[in-house]
Amino acid sequence: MKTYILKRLLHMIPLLLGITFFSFMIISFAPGDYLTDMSQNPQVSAQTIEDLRTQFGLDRPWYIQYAKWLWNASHLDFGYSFANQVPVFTLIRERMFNTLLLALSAALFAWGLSIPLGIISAVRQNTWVDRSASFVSFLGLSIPEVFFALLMVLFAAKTKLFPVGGMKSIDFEYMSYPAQIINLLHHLILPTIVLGSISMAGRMRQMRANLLETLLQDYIQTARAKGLSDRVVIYKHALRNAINPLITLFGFTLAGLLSGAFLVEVVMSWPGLGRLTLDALFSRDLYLVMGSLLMASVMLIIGNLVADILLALSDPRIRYE
Amino acid sequence: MKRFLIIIACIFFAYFLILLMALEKSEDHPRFHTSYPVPVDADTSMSEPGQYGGRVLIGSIGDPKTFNPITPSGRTSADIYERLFSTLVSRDRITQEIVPALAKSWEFSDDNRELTFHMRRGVVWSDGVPVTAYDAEFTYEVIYHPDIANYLRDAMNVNGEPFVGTAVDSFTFKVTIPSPIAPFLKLAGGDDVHILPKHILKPELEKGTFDSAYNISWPPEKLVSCGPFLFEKFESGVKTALRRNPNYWRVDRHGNRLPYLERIIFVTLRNFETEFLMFQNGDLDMLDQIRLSNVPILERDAEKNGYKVVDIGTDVGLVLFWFNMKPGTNKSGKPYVAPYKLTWFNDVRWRRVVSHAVDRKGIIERVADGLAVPQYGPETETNKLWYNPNVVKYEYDLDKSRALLDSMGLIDRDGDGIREDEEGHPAEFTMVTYTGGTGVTANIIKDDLAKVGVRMIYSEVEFKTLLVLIHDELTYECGLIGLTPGDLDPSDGMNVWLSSSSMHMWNPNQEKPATKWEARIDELMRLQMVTLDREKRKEYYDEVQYIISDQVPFIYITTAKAYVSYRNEFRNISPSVINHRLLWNADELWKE
Repeated sequence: MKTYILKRLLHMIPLLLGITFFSFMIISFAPGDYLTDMSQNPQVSAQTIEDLRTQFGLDRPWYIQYAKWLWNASHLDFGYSFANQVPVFTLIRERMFNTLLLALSAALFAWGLSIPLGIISAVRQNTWVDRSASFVSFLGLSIPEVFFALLMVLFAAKTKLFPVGGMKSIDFEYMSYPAQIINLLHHLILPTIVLGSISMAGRMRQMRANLLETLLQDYIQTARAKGLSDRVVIYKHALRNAINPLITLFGFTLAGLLSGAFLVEVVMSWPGLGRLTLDALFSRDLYLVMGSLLMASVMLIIGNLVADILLALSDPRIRYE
Repeated sequence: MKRFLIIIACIFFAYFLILLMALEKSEDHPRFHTSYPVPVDADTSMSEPGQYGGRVLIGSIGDPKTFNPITPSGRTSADIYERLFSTLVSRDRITQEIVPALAKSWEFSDDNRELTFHMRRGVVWSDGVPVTAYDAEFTYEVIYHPDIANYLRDAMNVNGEPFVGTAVDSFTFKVTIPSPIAPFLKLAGGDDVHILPKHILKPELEKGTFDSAYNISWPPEKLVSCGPFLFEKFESGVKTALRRNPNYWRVDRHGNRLPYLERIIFVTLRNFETEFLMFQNGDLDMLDQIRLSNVPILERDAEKNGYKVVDIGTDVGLVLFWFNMKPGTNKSGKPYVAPYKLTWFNDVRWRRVVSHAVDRKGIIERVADGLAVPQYGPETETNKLWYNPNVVKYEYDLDKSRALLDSMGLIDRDGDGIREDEEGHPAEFTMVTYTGGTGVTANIIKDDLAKVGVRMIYSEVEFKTLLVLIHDELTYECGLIGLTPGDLDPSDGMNVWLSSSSMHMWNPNQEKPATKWEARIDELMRLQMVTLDREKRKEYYDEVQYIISDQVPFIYITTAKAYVSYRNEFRNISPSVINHRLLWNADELWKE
């Protein structure tokens, strides 16, 4: 197991090299750079723009810029943001935490709802409970995330039940700690629902199908024949087997939610990494883009690794040797 | 099952811990309460005295980039650091005249080459150190420092020669230039030249870290400044909080220190729509930028929701399009513009044809809900001191367009509805602009041009791509973009109107003026720069405006009206079209 994890971590190196190389290349091939906007400012002379270009190192070919960036990055120096003149990591740190909070909330929401709902619909197959749960899950699967997010923003604006966007109230720092938690949760509700609904719907269908399949197995028949109560049969025997594949999916879901948070962050003004990256991309703040891409890639890779490890832990048939 | 429950418990516990990490403690700092004596030379505000306390919540699109007023940053940052710092003199946003700020008075020498500022005594930085002429001298040192790239020095020079600023004594600052120029006062001490604290920033300059000084992660208590507000807190993607400076250098009529407001909070938002929704929801107190389509909705709910919507005149920013008249070829030998088209574009009749085909009134009705005015020349009436109303107006008249096209020899020779020249080239061109810009407007122009037999092809590219195209590659036929001036003074147009300049967009970087009228504009622009008599200067600039409108190198379309909105409880607000529209006199605002 240890060697397996070590191997997987070593695999990260070529993977990250590839990701950063291609991202850097693509960004460099896009027309214009961070300083292009200044050429439309009547107060700025062409000479000043050239001076800045030299200062930022943008006058050199992209592969040299990349080599330099890579060398610094291997020493854990990810450079400075052009716009802010602040180390990239300082900017990313806080935003990454916010994205993680949103993604975790969405994961908890998705799993906390999908497993019980999946079980109920499987146990009471073809009743009204099953049908309405299915209806909700199909709705969740089919509604486009952007549209859903916009609808929720509108809902918040019209009913005034929820904040229109953002992560905390302006007076957050002056509130008592319990009030702060409540405030944070209040702001979390809508983005969590939007982000979590797709994976909630998917997981619920999966749980339902798994449990239905398990309930048809011979050992369930045997258990029933032994005279065990329905409750024990379902929750003690069937569920444990049905839920195994879902546990392994948890890691993947988390990774997916981290990258999916991007859209929700932009529409619902959540101060996360996605918004930072998007803004940096539009202004071609090169090192900031690279830094956040690297961070997102690392989170994705680690999410997948966690998923694989969970798989090994929960299913004794799987061994990584 | 037990193990499963333990895992779930662990997950919830971890989640709760993460939630706890988001909690914050509010901190108060003595710098917000330490009060030094009121300066002997304190400036007295003539506005209505108010009461202390309260705060303003206002949206800002995107985070500020830095609080350093010298390094290039952008509007959002400027909106904030303009509240933190003070300048020597300032432009009154209502009269548009220059008024004293940190300098209580100033005088010119007889040859107009020397400007002496007399600074107020008793003004202190937020850490208690006096503000002196040595700080102003240091600010000049930074601006002209070879390692500090900034664009203040692009304006602060006379034919490349820098302004020389020296502190004669603690309260006398003298600026010398090689030969007199008209905007001397504005450039030497005006709204862009924020005075920096020498005792804090000199060491940074020497260490070579000036560019990252006063950045967004700079410790708030070390962000020393002397403006009406002090920096309190910045949270990436959330807000920037400013708090009242208890040692500001202005007082009201009763001798009470300004400002009245305790806090200004800039809430970071991603777009104007969210800002609008939050304002309607009561989460913001002011709107300084309003989309025209939202104005009727705001006006409808104004009384019910307790806010005002104010029409503040026309915007200073203009939307315009132009034809590329750059002769020659690019590096790979391809002509910038096909030679036969270049001949049309250089013919003033062609540009008048197109201007006559712009249905400005129709565009106002259909695109701007009637909330705009037609635009024909380079200045709007918002610019009280310099606007010339008597420019040539090539108004919507398709018959005139047709007649001009006929006289150019562009006639529909094959009966397909599109005119051709003698060699059979169809009269068509491609207009390029940025995505999300003005598609509807362009289509209205396109339809009208089709009626006179000219085909316009419309294309949109990403903003940066457009800038590269119109400033570097120059291989395009017609461009459309918005242009916002930095200041209202004619000197700010030098970079656009001089034929040698890079922003002379229809034919940039000319070695010598390509046409007689461009030569005349060059001459007039240079004259207005060195003419000290304002009447004379206005005459010169009026002629520039006239020539531009007559020769139509830029075809102006419309100018949007500008609106602001704010809650009824705010007093002393006097909105201006010059930035910041609502907070320019933040020190005088108060809340009932």
